[in-house]
This record gives sequence, C-alpha cells and structure tokens, in this order.
Amino acid sequence: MSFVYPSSLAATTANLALSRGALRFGMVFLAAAFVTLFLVQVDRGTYAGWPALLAIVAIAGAGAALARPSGDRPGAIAAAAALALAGSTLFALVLIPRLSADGASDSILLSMVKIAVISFGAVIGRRRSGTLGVLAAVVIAEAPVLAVSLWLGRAVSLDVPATGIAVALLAVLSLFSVSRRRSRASAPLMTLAGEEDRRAVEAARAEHSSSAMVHDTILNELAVVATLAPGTLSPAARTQIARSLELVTVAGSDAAALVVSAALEGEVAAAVQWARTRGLEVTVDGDTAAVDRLPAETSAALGRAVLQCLTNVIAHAGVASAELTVIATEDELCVMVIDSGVGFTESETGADRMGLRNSVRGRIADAGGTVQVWSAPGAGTAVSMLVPR
Amino acid sequence: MTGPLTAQRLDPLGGITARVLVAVAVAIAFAEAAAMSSVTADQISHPAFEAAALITIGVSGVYYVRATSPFRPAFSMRSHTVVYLLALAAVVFNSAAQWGSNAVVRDDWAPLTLATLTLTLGSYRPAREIALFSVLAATIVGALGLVQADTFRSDIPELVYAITPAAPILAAGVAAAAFSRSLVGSLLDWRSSAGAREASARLDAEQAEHAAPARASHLVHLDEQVIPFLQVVSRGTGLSEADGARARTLARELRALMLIDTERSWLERIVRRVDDPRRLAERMAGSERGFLRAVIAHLRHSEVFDDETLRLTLREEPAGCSVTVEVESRAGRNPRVHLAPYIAVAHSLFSAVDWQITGTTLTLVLAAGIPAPSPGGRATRGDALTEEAPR
Repeated sequence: MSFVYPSSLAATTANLALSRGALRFGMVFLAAAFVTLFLVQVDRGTYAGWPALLAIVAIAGAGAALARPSGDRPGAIAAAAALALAGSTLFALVLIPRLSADGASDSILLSMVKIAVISFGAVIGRRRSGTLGVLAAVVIAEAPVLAVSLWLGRAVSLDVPATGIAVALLAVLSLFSVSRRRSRASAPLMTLAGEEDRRAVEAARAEHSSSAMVHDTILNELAVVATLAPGTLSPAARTQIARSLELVTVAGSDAAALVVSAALEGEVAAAVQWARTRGLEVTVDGDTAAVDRLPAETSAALGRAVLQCLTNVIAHAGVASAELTVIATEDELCVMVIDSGVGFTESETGADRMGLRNSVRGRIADAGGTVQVWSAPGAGTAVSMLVPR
Repeated sequence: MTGPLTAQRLDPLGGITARVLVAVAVAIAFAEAAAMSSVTADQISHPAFEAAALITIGVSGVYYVRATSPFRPAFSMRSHTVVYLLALAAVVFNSAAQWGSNAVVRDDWAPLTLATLTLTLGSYRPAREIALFSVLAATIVGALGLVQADTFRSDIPELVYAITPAAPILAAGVAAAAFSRSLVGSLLDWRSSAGAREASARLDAEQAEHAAPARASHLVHLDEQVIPFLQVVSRGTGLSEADGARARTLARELRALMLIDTERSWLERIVRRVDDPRRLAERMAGSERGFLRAVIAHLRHSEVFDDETLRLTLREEPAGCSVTVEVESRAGRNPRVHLAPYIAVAHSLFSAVDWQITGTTLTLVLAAGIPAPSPGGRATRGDALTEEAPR
C-alpha cells in the first residue's frame, strides 16, 4: 500500500469536503437569519414579515437539493437555482420595505441570506466548476436585492460581508488548485518508492525460495562434478543434474504460470487455515493440487510440519504474512514456507528448543523427505520440505 | 500514529496545500482587524485595549502559520488551543476597547477574524474538536454581545446582539468540522479499500519498470553462468578436468554471492554507505521502508545534494530504532528547497523526526518503531511451542 495519498484523488476529495463545508456554512447563516427575523417579528408583535421566513426555508431547500447525490445534474442545478432565485426575490420584496428608511441593501439580515446563497454556489464544486457556481450564486443573491432596492428608491451599498465571502470562496477554490500542484509535486516519487518497496519484498521472498532450492540442488551438483574423476559421466548422474536444473528452473519461473487453481485441501490446508485464524496472512501458490495427491501418511506429516513452520512465523518472525509455495516434479514435492521476518541462526537455537528439530525435521524425515532451512538474522526465513510423491 | 485522526496526519501533503490558505486567512484576518479598527475608531473608548486586541490577533496568526509548518510535527490540540485562546482574547480586548461606546454590533471585527481563522482548521484538527471549540467561542462572543446590548443603537431584541457576532463563528466552525469529517472519511476509505492498490496500478509501464528491484547477484550468476554450464554437462557424455575446475570455481562464486546477498539488507542494495550492524533495516515497517526509498531517491536526483556523500546509520533504541540520514549539499544551494513534503510525510510515519542543517550538512533523524526481539536478546526462531497448536 502506498504511504502517500495519490494526487489523482486529492482534488476530488478536497472538492467534496469543500462542498460539504460550504453547505453547512450557508445553512448556519440561514438559521441565524431565520431566528433573528422570527425574534424581531415576535418583538414587534407583527407577523407581516412571515413570508420572509418561508423564503428562507425555500433557499435552504435549494441548498439541500444541491447537496443530494443527484444535485449535480444540470436539471437539478437549474431547479435549485430557480428556487433560490424565487426565495431571494421573495425575501427582498418582504424585507426591504420593512427596513427603516435609511436601511440599505447591506442590512445584516440581507447579508446573512446572501452569504448562504453564495455558499450554496460552491456546493456544486464537488463535481463541476465551483467558481462558476459561486459567480452564478452571486447574481442570484444580489440581483433581487438590487432590483427591489432600486424599485423602492432605497440606498444601494456594497454588501461587504457577502462580497467578502464570495471573493474568499473564489480565492479558496483557485488557491487550493495552485497550492495542490506545488505541494504534491513529490507525490509521484513517493508513490513510486512505495511500489518499489512492495516489489522488493516480493522479490526478496522469491529470492529466499530460489536460494533454498539452489542450495539443495545446484551446489550439490557442482560439488559432484567438481569431485568426479575426468571420464564418462554416468546416465544416473546426468539424470540427477537434469532433475536439479528442472527444479531450479521451475522455482525461478513465474509463479503465476505454475499455479494450478485447485483448492488446497487436507492437513496442509488445515494448517494454513489455523494460521489464518490467528491473524497470519498466508499466501498460497504453486501446484497445490499435487499436495492433495500425496499418500495419507506423507500428507499428515507435511501438514504438521507446515503447522509448526507457520506457528514459528506467528511466534517469532515479527511479520504478519507468510508465503507457502508448492513445487512438484514427477517424483517429489517441495513445500516452502517463507517469511520476510527477523530471521535466526539455527545453530544458536537452544538444545531444549525442539520445534524445528522434531516437528519439522523429524516428521519430514519419517516421511522419507528432507528439510532445508535458509535463514539469517534480519533476512527472513525459508523452510524447504522435500517429500517423495 | 498517535493522537486523533486528522486530515493532516493522514495526508501530510494535503496539510501543506492547506497551509497556503492559512497564510492567506491570517493576512486577511489582520487586514480586516486593522481596517475595521480604523473605520470604527469613533466607537473606541479605551485605545490601549484596542491595541492589545490587534497585537493578540497578530500573535495568534503568526503562531498559527508557524505551527502548521511542514517542518514541524502535526498541528496539535495544544496549538489549536493557543490559536483559539489568543483569538478569543482579541475578542475580549476588542469588546473592552468599545465598552460603553459600542454603537453597532456588526462592525466588531474580532468575531469576524476568529471566524476567518476557524474556517481553515478543517485540514488540521478533528471535526468534533473544531465544533466544540467554535460552540464555546460562539457562546462567549454571544454573551459579550448580550452584556453590551444597552449601548447598541438599534431597536431590536437583545438576543439578536448575541446571534449577529456569534453566527459567523458558528458557521465557520460547522463548515470546518464538516470539511474535516469529509476529508478524514475519504482518506480512511482510501486506506481501507482497494484505493491504494488502484493507485499503484495506475503507475504506467515505464514507472513500473523503474520500480522493479534489482535481482540478487547470485541469481544473475546462476542464470548466466551456472545453469548454462550444468546444461552442457548434463547433455554431454563425459567430464574433462577443466569441467571439474570450472565446477569448483562456480560453486565457490555462487556460495560467496549467496552469502553476500543474504547479508545485504534492502537498504544496502540501494545505498553504498550504510552502518546497520543489527540489520534493523529489515525490521522496519513497509511504509517506513517506502519513505526511506523516496527520501534517498529525492536526495540522489536533486541537484542540491551531493549523493556521493549520502550516509545512513541505524541504531537500536529502547522504543525501536533511529535512522540517521546525512548528506552534504552542494555549494551555494539551499538544502531546504523541496524538502518540506518529505519532512511533513516523515512526521506522519515516524514517532519522532528531527532535522538540522549544519553548514552544508543535512541531518535527518527518524525514530522508527520496529518489532521487539523475542525475550532473551537476539530474535531466534525454530523454537518449540510451549503448547501444541490446536488443530
């Protein structure tokens, strides 16, 4: 998993968050305008201004409609804009005549409602251009107030709070975009590094597997060739070398090409299942079907040995995952349990520690097989169990 | 990662993006304060308090900008409290400056500056904390409006004098909280879903090729030398003396390369000068390894640093291990350039991050958490189970 949030998603999630914030920002201002107007109406004992309360509800409805998942469709946006325009017009028609004679178009109540409408313009920014939304909302908020004020011959003033909010929203939308480009310039390199590490871990596992196999086969064959007297090479020796080459080639080739998609069953499957229930992520690959065709006694011994290996990973490796690889040839089957944990030195394990010695080596030896352990402190562990088929 | 989840902790690069807005918001807040203070000078009866209010909001802004620096640890609740208390103090000083002479509530600048600063908190603090702080601040501001009700000129219900200055703070707090909740939710969704894997899959073919690690040297030797030799031997009918000598040489080389590959950590494969006697690099978490790879790649490819001088030292500490990265910068270059994203991300991945530039040397010290070795010292395995595993 990458450790940095991808730049490709950053803009989308930031726009969604801005949209949600803008909706609530507007709603609080509408609530404040509603309560203020209600208090003033009650205080003055007149209810002539009640349609203005209805206008606030209509504008809130427009905001809520925009915030719905379907709110960014053109039809929904047009409907919400019409509702907000109707609400703003009604609010201006009801409120402005009731303002004192020197009351201007920047009355606090008018400002609160205008701020709400302008904020709702940014709500569509989650999928569409928030800048266009805000600019359209400014027109929807200001035009009715301007028209009614001019019609009634009232003073027209610049609404500093509403204009300030519009400018701030536009600045936020553009600054976020510019700043994001700069601050996330290093994100691709970081994502690439995370990917490189993931691949390196996979490669290290493959190396463990391959190294154990090389140790068991190729080095032996080289030693045989090095010690044989010059002369004719026996057919048995040639066959043995060819068999080792086949094993190493199989182990080193693309595991995906080897996978037989049969489900792992029997004792080995039970061991894997047991480890998984204890939180160890066990990846199984290779010719798993070959395990199921083993003689019953061999399968039981192998299952218990695998269980011990996975138990050791859980108890000592300090990692949460292990890999179980099955490689089958005509006569033999090799099961490897590999982890990239803390590793160990087998010769340094105490004489009283019998797990690997008895549960793994002993059982596999009883089944006519051999065990090779490939590990070093800090370098992970690969246990290779070779049994006859 | 300790403390509550915030957008900055989950996406440090997003924190850097938002910092530009913090700087702009602070500038706007101070300009707003200075301009409105000048415009409403006729309502100020205690100029010393007004001066204190302006100084306090200035200090709050400077502290806020500093505390959100990518070179510092993530913006904490303590920092949030300091910023808020200073801005609230400005509100109190502003009210005190106009005590008995405040004619119009809507031109009080301090609540507006507090709201302006609050709006930008969504990237840095959790939603609940932002909402709580803003409700408390709105209550205090509202109460200050109420107690001054007698001095205001307008003939409206007293409660309106509380609502008018409190509404912007409440609106900003609710908006910032919603922003924070949405962003944190998206980031957590990405972490828990296939988002990260999808992002990795989006790497194009060229990048993926670069991301492929180098093969172990013994495997290369195996493919290029050993296997071809054994194939020739297995297909032939006889062995020569030269074949025996060649087999001995190849076996010796193969053993030596296998030993080297086993002993080299992933870090030693990418950096020449690594001092890691306890092989701690192998015990680092995947995200920590990925970050170190990214830093190393940045230092290598940046024209600012001399990659020949790059040196890493890993030492065991009681709580994990410390990773020290040292590199020399080239003459006349500023080592801080382009370093901010890496320091910011490091703060989100490591329990402690320290960095300094001494002369031309950049030193970065990271405290990594690594799994503790098993009791008794060196991690050993192959141990017997104390109980037989259930079947």
